[in-house]
Amino acid sequence: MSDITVDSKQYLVKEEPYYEPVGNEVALYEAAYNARMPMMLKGPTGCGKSRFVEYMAYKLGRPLITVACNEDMTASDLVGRFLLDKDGTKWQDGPLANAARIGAICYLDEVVEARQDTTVVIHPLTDHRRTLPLDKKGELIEAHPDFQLVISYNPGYQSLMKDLKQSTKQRFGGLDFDYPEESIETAIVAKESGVDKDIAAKLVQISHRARNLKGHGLDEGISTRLLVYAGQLISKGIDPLAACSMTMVTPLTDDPDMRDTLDAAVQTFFS
Amino acid sequence: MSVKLEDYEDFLSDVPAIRDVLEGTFHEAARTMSPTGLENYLNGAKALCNLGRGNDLVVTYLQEMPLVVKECGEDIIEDCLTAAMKLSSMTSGEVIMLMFQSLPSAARNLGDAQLLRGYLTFIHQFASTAARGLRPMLNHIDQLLTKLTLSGLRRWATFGAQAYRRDFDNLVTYFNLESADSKAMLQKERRGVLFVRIQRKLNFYLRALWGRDFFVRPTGADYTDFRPYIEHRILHVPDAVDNVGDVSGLDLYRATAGHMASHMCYSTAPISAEQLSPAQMFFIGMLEDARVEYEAGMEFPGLKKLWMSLITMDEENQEKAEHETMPVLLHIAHMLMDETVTIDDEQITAFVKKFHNEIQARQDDNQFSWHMGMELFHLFADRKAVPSLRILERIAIPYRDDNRYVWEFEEFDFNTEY
Ligand SMILES: Nc1ncnc2c1ncn2[C@@H]1O[C@H](COP(=O)(O)OP(=O)(O)OP(=O)(O)O)[C@@H](O)[C@H]1O
Ligand SMILES: [Mg+2]
Repeated sequence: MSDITVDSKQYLVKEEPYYEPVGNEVALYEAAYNARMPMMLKGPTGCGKSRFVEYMAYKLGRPLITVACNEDMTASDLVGRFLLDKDGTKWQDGPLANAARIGAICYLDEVVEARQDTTVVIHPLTDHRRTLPLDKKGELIEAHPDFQLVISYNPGYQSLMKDLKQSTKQRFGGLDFDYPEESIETAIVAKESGVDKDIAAKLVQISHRARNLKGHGLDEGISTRLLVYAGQLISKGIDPLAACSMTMVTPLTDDPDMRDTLDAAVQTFFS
Repeated sequence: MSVKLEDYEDFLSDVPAIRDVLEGTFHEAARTMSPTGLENYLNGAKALCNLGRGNDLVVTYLQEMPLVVKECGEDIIEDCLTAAMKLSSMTSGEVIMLMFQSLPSAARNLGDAQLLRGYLTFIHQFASTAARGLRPMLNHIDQLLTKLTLSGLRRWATFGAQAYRRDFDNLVTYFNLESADSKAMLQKERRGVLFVRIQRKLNFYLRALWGRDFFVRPTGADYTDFRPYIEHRILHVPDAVDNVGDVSGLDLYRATAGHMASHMCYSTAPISAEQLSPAQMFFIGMLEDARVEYEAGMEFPGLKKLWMSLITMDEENQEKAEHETMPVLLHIAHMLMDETVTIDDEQITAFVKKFHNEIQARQDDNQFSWHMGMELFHLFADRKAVPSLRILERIAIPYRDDNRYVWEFEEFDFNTEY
């Protein structure tokens, strides 16, 4: 039986990601990292949580291992499992074990999606023990001193069924994220998509109109991510109305009245 | 105060069939009605029982009323009962029952308590002129009201009632929607867009643009001079509109509600009407329209574009104008929206130029509208070219309201409960 090992360098973020700070989140995160405090990033979809983690990993010079969580994920998907091949069985670390060994930042994206019996495997890593038991293998990993766990969490669509247990929540420090204020969001959209400031400002204003409808027929507002998409199409020469409809209206809702309204709202911004 | 079914034991113990139904509907009724409403609802059942037109009538009432209340509010219960009482002297219990059966559909399609009252009045009048048509018409009421406004229905019915006053067979065919003239009339009265069909979209639209709720109500726009209006912070719009040129009925509704919402969003005080003639008030209102539309247009250039397309639509039809000044006023309204539009008239050119030079600095100041409006009034007064008020008020700008709000302005607070 032999283990599969990995090279930690491949997880380093090579180029500085563009991240526009919206408050003092960079300093707060740095302090949390220095204490190796597990962190929870809360905020609606597409508001920059993943980008922020990438940026912090780069800034701190730590490898970053990201796991997109889903309902079908089992504890083994995080921790690791034995693989069978012609030479016999091999243990393969899961991403969490991997991160704990190499001292990476492990980012569990949209952690509420995972079932609760999966989520509990992170418990020993997130308290004073800083260990990860590999029960099947009979090993207890002591987390590398640089290891840190970060989870993201969208409080908007957590249903009664899908919420983190208090015993999970209370192992994390939290940072609140939201769509950035107008001027910052405009700068982000312009920079990320290549459209000029005027168009970017228009896109941001349109998204504010749609956010007015959140809770009044819309479950979620138009995210920064979708604004960037719209900008990217416009900078490729697509007609703004068509670009907005495709990126900011169609993905957002299936309600025909609402789509019609959003298209009409988009039109009010273009003369 | 709470209303309990047991309190009605006296009356219910006589009529077990009704009690069974009531036990089913009471729960739903109690959810949609206040104790007073519930009391009226139950007393109504009692009164209908006493009418002695059979239990089916009472049962229908009990079943349909909660649905009507859900659409139009509980004050309507008494109106419906009164209507039933009045009908009872003219027609059979079965027709009264059909009337109750038609109410949920009428309430849903008319979408407003006041209009539903109008419907009840219409039924009453109809019963006294063509009672035989009532039954077939009520049997088709859903089909009729999904296509017609209340006034359209009234005209459609009046035509049939008059044409076949003495010809019962054809009367019934007409109101059964079977005859060709019945269908043709229906087609003729049919409007492009009924308010209730687009209400949800319109509410979304206003909320998206201004981030707050507006109350929009359909109003029977029977007569040709109907203008939308704002009263007690409620936007009253026609219950149906036709497409105007290339502009769809829905967009016309958006333009109309958007204009009125702009009055409310960009005004902070009323203008004093003191010492003003109605014509002067008209001119000031016209400038006030231009001011609020300027502000809205800065935020929503596309909305301004929509308004502009509605203003310019009639500009070509100069020959049909009742007064030579009207096309000029329409053109001035256009010029106030679009700096690049010109006119072969030095005074007016100078006037409009002044507006555009100053509007940015004075956009929040409705006194600016007062001064500019008076200036424009005098410009025409000096030329002895001020049309009569009747003509002025018929200016062909279909989306603008009657501007009573400009003078009666009420503080519009986000947090005010209606
Ligand atoms: N502060 C920011 N600086 C730079 N780019 C940003 C910022 N916020 C958002 N973005 C842009 O928005 C896009 C979406 O952000 P990101 O993927 O980080 O969202 P998220 O919050 O992780 O969403 P989800 O919860 O759906 O995973 C990014 O790709 C980036 O283009
Ligand atoms: Mg007006």
